[in-house]
Amino acid sequence: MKKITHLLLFFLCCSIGLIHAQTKQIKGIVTAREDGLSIPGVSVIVKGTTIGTITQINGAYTLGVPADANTLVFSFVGMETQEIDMDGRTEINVVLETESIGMDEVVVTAYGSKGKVGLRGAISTVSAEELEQVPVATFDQMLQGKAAGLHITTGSGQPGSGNTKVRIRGNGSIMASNDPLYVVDGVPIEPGVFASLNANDFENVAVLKDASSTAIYGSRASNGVVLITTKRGKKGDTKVNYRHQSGLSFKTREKFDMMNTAEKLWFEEIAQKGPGWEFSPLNPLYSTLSPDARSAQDAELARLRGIDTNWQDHIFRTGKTMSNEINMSGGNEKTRFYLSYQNYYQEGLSDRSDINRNTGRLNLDHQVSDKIKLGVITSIGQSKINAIESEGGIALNNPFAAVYLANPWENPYDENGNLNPGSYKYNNPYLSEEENKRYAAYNNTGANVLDLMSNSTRKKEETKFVGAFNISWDILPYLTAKSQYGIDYRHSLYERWVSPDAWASISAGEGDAHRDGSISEDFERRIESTFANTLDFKKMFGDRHLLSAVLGSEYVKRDYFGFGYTGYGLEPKLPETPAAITPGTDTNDYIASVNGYKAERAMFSLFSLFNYTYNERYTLSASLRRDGSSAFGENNKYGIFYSLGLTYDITREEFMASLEWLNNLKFRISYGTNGNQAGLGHYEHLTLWQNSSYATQPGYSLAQTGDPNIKWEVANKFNVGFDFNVLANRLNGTIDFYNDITSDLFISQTFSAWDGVIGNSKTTNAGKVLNRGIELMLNYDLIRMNDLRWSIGTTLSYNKNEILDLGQVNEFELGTSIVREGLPIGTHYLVRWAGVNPATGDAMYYTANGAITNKYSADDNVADFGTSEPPFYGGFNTSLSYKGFELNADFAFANGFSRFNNQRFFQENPNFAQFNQSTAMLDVWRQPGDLTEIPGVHSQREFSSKDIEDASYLRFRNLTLAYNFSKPILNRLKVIKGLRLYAQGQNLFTWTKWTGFDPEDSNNIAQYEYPTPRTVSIGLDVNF
Amino acid sequence: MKQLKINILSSIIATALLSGACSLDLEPIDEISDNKAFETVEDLEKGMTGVMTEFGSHNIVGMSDWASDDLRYSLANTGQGVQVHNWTYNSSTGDLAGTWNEQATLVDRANRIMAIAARFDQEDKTVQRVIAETKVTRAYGHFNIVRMYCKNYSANDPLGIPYKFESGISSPSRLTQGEVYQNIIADINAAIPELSIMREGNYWITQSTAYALKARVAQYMQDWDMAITAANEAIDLGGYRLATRDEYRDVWDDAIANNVEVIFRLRRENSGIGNYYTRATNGDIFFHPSYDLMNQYTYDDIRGLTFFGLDEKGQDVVTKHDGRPNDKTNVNDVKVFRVSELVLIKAEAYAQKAQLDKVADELNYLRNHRLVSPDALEFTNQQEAIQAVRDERRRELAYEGHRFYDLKRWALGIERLTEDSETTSRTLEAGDYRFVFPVPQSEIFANKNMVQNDGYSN
Repeated sequence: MKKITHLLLFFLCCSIGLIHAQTKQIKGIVTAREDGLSIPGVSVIVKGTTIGTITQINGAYTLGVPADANTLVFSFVGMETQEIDMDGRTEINVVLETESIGMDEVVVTAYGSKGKVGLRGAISTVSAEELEQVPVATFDQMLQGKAAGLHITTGSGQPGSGNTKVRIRGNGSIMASNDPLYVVDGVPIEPGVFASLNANDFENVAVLKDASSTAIYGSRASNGVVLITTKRGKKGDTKVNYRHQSGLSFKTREKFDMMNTAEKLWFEEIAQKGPGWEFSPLNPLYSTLSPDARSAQDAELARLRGIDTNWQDHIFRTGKTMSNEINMSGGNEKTRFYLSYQNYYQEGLSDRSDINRNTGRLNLDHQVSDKIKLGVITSIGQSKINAIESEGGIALNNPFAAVYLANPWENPYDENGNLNPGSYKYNNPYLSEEENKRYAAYNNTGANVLDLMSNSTRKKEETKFVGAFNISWDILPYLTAKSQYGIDYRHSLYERWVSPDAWASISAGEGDAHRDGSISEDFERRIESTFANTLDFKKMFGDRHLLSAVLGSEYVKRDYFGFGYTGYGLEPKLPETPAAITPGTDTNDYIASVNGYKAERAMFSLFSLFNYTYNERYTLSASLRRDGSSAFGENNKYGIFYSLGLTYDITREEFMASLEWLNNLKFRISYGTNGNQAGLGHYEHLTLWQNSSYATQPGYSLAQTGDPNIKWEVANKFNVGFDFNVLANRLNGTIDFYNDITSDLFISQTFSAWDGVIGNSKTTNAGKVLNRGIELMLNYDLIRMNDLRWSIGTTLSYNKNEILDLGQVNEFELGTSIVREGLPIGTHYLVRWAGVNPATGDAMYYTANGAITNKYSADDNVADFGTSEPPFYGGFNTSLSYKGFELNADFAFANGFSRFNNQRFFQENPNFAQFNQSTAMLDVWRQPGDLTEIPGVHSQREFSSKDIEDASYLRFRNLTLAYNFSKPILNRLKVIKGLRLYAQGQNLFTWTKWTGFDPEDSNNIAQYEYPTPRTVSIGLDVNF
Repeated sequence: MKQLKINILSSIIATALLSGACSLDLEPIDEISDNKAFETVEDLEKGMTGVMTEFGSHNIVGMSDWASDDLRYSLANTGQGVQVHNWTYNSSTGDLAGTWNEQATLVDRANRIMAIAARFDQEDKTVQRVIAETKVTRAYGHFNIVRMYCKNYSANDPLGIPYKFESGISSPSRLTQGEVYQNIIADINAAIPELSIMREGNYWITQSTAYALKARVAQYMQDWDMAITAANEAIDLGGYRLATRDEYRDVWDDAIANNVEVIFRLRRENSGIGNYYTRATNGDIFFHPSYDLMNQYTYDDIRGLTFFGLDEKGQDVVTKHDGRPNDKTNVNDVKVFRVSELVLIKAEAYAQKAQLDKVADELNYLRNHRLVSPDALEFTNQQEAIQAVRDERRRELAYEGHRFYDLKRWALGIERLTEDSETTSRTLEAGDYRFVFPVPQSEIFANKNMVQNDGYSN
């Protein structure tokens, strides 16, 4: 055994374990069976905690352990980990055996039997403790700030929303998906659909970033891979764990104010729009009124002045959150199980917005013989979601738009206290019908939303099953065959019902199918089944050559199916059921519409992964995968992906032994290729025909021109990095540099009209994007005393994104952004704002040449306002524990990006003065000499750089205070083995200049998205 | 034991690696793939019916009218056709890309069905007919592009257009005009024997359609004998005759017997040519009929009475394509070939051949069907005859996509009346490069072999 320093699995360092009151000292010596020599650097840890130490140069250790601790874990690279029950002893000497099969420290495995062939490369893991009991419904949101190179933003605060953007090392694709591949226990699952999964069931989540770790996933892995391993039972007594959490969600304070009634009526007078102007004595029509008509109109204005509705009181609410979970695990020599059930309920910030979810899981492992093992994982979840109207839309039905745009002088209720939908129009009793036409009608924006919310539903019911059955057979000690069939099944039912009593129905005209309400049901089913077969090999040749390899095949099949209908003419006494539909006839306009689709897609792959370690120092990893997909063109049916990586364990070199402060130093370098086929339509390679008709005859018309060359996007990834532990493992970290170039991007290409391509344009493989960056993960134990521990950690990522090539063109516009060679994805493209001309009140703009003009032209758009994708982001955290107390704080930040605040276009715009306006408009230019940023009401509002705001932010994401009851107290309670009480706050504070709702949004533009709530919760975990 | 293990092992590997290997050819479920769509001759016919839906919006008609002297700009116009009307177009003018894109697409669709037809029994009469129909379609599509984007016929002019004989991605170059016309005539000639003589409603390609196209092509080539022969064949084969004065309105209401006036028309259910002059939804006028054109008709001319009307505000409006009675506004069948056009082609041919009596015969035949007891025409010199043919042609074929291309053919300029051009351009000199429309910018961009027409910057 060489004199070498040790390694500590880094997840143990950054995880936050249970800390117990410490009462006794344990000491001992660790030696090796092989040569009887002592081993320095062995990690000694109290099981289930972060309390631990490392053996000295003579193999000796001393460790203070909590009185309630039972087990110590001794681990060392290349040796079999041992767990030793203390049984009240104070001296424990341990003899470690050389790991019988090999010497990898296995963190993550892809395919293959656990423990045999590990993935190498740039991998971040997030442990169970970091994912448990975070009060959000979807696990991807929980990963925010947890790993370097991973940037996650949430587009909606709707409970259960799938609108979360997950990016690993930036955006590699322009038009196709940038979502990573998600794999649960070897079963690939649908990205973005996590509302029906319980993250408390996850043992760990590994984020694979470089080619070395992802190439084995071939044509689906260019955006990185998220590997999820769920919890399994361990032999021993059955453990029962009950968890409860209750909380409240609050709206965070927006950074703008809307006008009150006095302000709004004042502004209407200036904008010459709205009742404030119609009833104004300054209105030229005023002088034409008779004294009676005048005083009636004055009285109406006074009545409006008397109303000052704060719409936030009517639309926002405090949401309640509650979850209850019970899980059990245990087993014997032959069979082990993990069983869990959870109910999760969360209310959103508005009425009619919640999720109610039930999930269950059973993971079973059974040893048929000493060679053959069976495993089953099953997880089923059903979530019922109530959603708001027009979520994230610039629409008056969206309550988060209406709450700001409804006029303060609008009364939600009429004199009788009933909701007051429809519109407001003044009728002057002293004017004729014709004369009364001078008064315009104004939508009751607020009441209409309240009416629709109470007289309609928008429901989603999602049922998801993720399961797998596997069998593995140890054919030889060094060879295992494994076969797994897995399935990711989801069906979703969307129900949309509008009551015949809703104002929207009542106000629909004769002949409008919607006049007596409507109900739609849309069903969607997606099944992805995977059949994977692998052979794992691992053998030591001589005492220096360790070889491991996986050889496998995988068949993935996806089936899509959906159908739906919309029916009309609803019976009012039969709410929310299709039974209420009146059958359509030629005359009643109630003819129901139906729709549906079916599609399928398949992939067949062969793959291999190969690791060779020489003398425990150098590991060469290589992988090769061949993917065939039904979506690829005939000429490119199969894609080959590969990677090569080298890991060098420098600390194992003898010349490093003298560096006592250096506990571990590992160097990694890798290069390889991945693909992305997510943007490719199922049948894009085929020429397709559809029905048509001409002069009453049926015909077949061309529907699609196939491209036999269409294929995957290709990512070429280079990564170099170091992992290190220094200062007796007080400081550990990882630093990575990467250079990823994605090419053959799906880009729309224009064709000659003679080519017969539909619309003369079609997706083709062209274009190239670079992501180059650096990532740093650091953890430092500031205090490592027996009772008191304090650590801090950070993840920092910098990513430079640049479009290198767009094929046929150099640039194209995409909404308010431009896709241009040489610029990053998400670059804003608008006319530069030049302020307000004090003499005229005109909005001023810069031309593309830099001259100031009052003529707005989209031809003057420039790309000078940065990008909506942050180049610099990360998080930091600290955890402090004293005896049974734990205090954890989590921060996240993103820097150097900007977003387009489209909301301002509506609430700072005199053209929309029939709706409420921001108080920013009180500074409106009124006369020559006024110095202001708000142009006069005569000046047309345009999209310009005025609405681009720096969206950099720092967010206090989570604060948790917990207390773990100590063993002596629990012993008195007999049955309870562990008890933890905690309180936590989520999304507590955000420092930003951004004036929209939430700077951390999933897109480039703010459009009244559902804001992310602030959540405060308390909970307990009890172990029996 | 070891042997057994190896056997089991190898069978596992074999099964694992090969399972599902051949399941990657998935057929779409909601659409029909190329090989499934066309299995029977009936399917092939459906494919040809599909081609008939691709004849396009007949932008060639609208562009001729906008650019010629037959329309007057309306104050209610919000930009429709303004560049074309003022001859300020360039290669980015979207309106002028219409025919290029639509007719090239039509050629492609015809070529696709032609290729599919090759898979069927070549002795089958229906298969032969479908192939013939695709050939005429292909010739027709190419010829429409020639009419708009090429100079007057000259066999050696290098700026013809591409001629696509099969569907596929390529960057086709421009052939000489001679080659293009040769291909067009060859396609028509090859098709004629296999085509039907008559088909219900004149909505389909028949021998008469092919001969009518041939006559028009010959007219552009100034091959007057070919024009006369083809025009006679077109009329005689289907037993076609001119509509009488009383029947004339019915022609434009799409209510006319099979053998009267219309030789080939395109069925239209949803959009029509009328939208080039007025907005279907609210009757807004984009262009009025020009005073110049209205002045061409005598009071008793059924054509003037049919083509022009007044809207409810009393403004002059083009009513030739304003829709079938009690049906959608501005939606009519597109009348592609009419007997009167063939009569006028013959008249022009005889005029060019200085057979003045025959010119008079043809024109009198036509005028007797349009006017109340017109005086019979007689010509004493060729120039007079030519002028009479041109005037009659303008009157008869207004708003059918001929005027602008005829002026180009005749090497005449455009001189709008003052009252027809108060806010718009007035004069386009004879031979101005703008008589040939620019190749669309999108084509120049996407096709590296495409050459722009003279006078346009790209």
